[in-house]
Amino acid sequence: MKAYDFKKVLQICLHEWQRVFVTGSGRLTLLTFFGVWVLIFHYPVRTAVELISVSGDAGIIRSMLGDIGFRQLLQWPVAELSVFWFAAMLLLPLTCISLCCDQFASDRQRGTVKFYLLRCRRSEFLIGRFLGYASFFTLLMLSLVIITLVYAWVREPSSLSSGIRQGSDTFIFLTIWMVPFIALANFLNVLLPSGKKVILVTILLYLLLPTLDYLAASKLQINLQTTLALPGLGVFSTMGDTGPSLDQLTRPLLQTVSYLFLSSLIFKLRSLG
Amino acid sequence: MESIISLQNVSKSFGKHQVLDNVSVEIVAGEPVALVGANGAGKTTLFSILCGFLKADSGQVKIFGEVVSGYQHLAKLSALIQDAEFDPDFSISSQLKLYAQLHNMSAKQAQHDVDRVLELTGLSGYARQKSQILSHGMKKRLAIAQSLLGSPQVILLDEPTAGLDPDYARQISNILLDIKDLATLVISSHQLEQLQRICPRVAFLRDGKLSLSEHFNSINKPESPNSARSIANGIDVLTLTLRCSDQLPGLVDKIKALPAVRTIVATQRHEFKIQYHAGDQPYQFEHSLLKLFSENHWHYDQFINGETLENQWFSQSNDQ
Repeated sequence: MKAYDFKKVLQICLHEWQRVFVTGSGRLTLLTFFGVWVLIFHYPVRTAVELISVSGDAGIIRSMLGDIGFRQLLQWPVAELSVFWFAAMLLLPLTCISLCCDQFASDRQRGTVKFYLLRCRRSEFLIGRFLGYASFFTLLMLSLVIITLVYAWVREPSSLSSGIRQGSDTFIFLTIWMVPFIALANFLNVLLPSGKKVILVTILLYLLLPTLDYLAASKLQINLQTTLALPGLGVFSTMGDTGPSLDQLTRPLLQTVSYLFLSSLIFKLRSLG
Repeated sequence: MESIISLQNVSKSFGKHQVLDNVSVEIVAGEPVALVGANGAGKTTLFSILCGFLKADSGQVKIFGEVVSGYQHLAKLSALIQDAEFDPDFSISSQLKLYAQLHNMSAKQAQHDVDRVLELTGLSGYARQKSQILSHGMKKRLAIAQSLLGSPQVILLDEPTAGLDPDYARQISNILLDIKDLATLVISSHQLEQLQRICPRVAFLRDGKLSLSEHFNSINKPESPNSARSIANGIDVLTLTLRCSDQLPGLVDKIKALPAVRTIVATQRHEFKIQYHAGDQPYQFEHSLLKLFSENHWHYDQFINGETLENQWFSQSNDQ
């Protein structure tokens, strides 16, 4: 058996970076992503920060938000990072699935994947593609956190030192929190013929699995817990006292490993017609 | 001679359709091999199994003495895959360079190899273009170019001339002639004539069975009972094969109605074997056939004097 070749994995990963930074469609995607986030920073985030930190009614608003479960979030030292974290948790999962939905589904349909598989193992190809998307998304997370810190520094220059600690925690948390979404998309790419179907099936999974759990629990008194397979659930329990709680990251890591294992296994067994 | 491909009792079926039935064959390195069979005979399935894209239901497949699932064959075997397309996001050069790098070449070596294969296939001027601007024939040449990357020892070419006009088909044949000394080629097609000038060896696939002949020309002897001219009941009977690209309504009935025609039989999709009496004038029947096509505004692909090599072989194997 030929040894696993990490160099090939790296080459496939780097080629995906080229897709983003060199091809026209990749650059357009990147431009749209940052354009939307600049708007989010400029309006919702800045307005929210002013409301909870600067305005005359800040105390009342903080008290109201605390009552509905955001007390810890309001204690975080840099308000911009708190609001960014909240916005990211709402917006990034769908963004992540949208950007990573077609990791190789269309390549499979087009037959392009066969050109790769004449030269590398199926798992090398699959992991290479996953790492390409995961590393690209990590870079996006880093950029967003840096932009948030710049916004915070412009408003309050003294916030930079405390912001760096909170910012690095936020970056690590968001990156690991988002990776299972990419792994889930990778897994669905093995099964489905297009990125569009990957998005639709992901949405369906988020509708069907909780319903299944509910029905099993209420009608059959069985605790199925199928929602454990869904990335991103239970996000509000991850709010620590001074930033996102990094000890809550075991579950997303396990989900990532499980999806990648399943992807490799099924892709290895599947015929490429 | 080194064994490059070894199949032992390989079977593959799709539902109830048995495509490969206990196939055992050993191909050694050397001259190109033609893999011949009708459409749907299982040529692409066989290539897919050899490349590791499909798994055989039973039997053992070895490339250079190693089982395909061990991935040892990766650098040694390459293929032109029918209908596989390049990624439309990247330039031809960029994709070929990646594929070359996956053969463990440095970036510089990979670029050198890409230039070499594009030069060989006459596509150097298109390196910076994307593959979707290429014509069907050029895409075939590009697929051959990718199969040459990394200097493989065996190249499987699945229908390299399928869907091409005669001019492009000749270009591809010329490229195959140019590269036949670089690796052992296994070329599949259902058109034996095109392969005859490239491949001294031929493997026939029919009804799931594969048989290999080391001498292509042995199936085309002049004394063959199915050559263009024969005598039946003291009458001179000639055979002509007609190939069309489309279904032509009423074709069979109208040809049957021509006075010289004895029989007309469909041998493949859009291919007919016509037996007719020789007339008093040379090419009398051909003239009447062309007139019929002209009157009906039909188009034909080819008139072949006699039977196709493929039909001759099938007739011979049926007789045996």
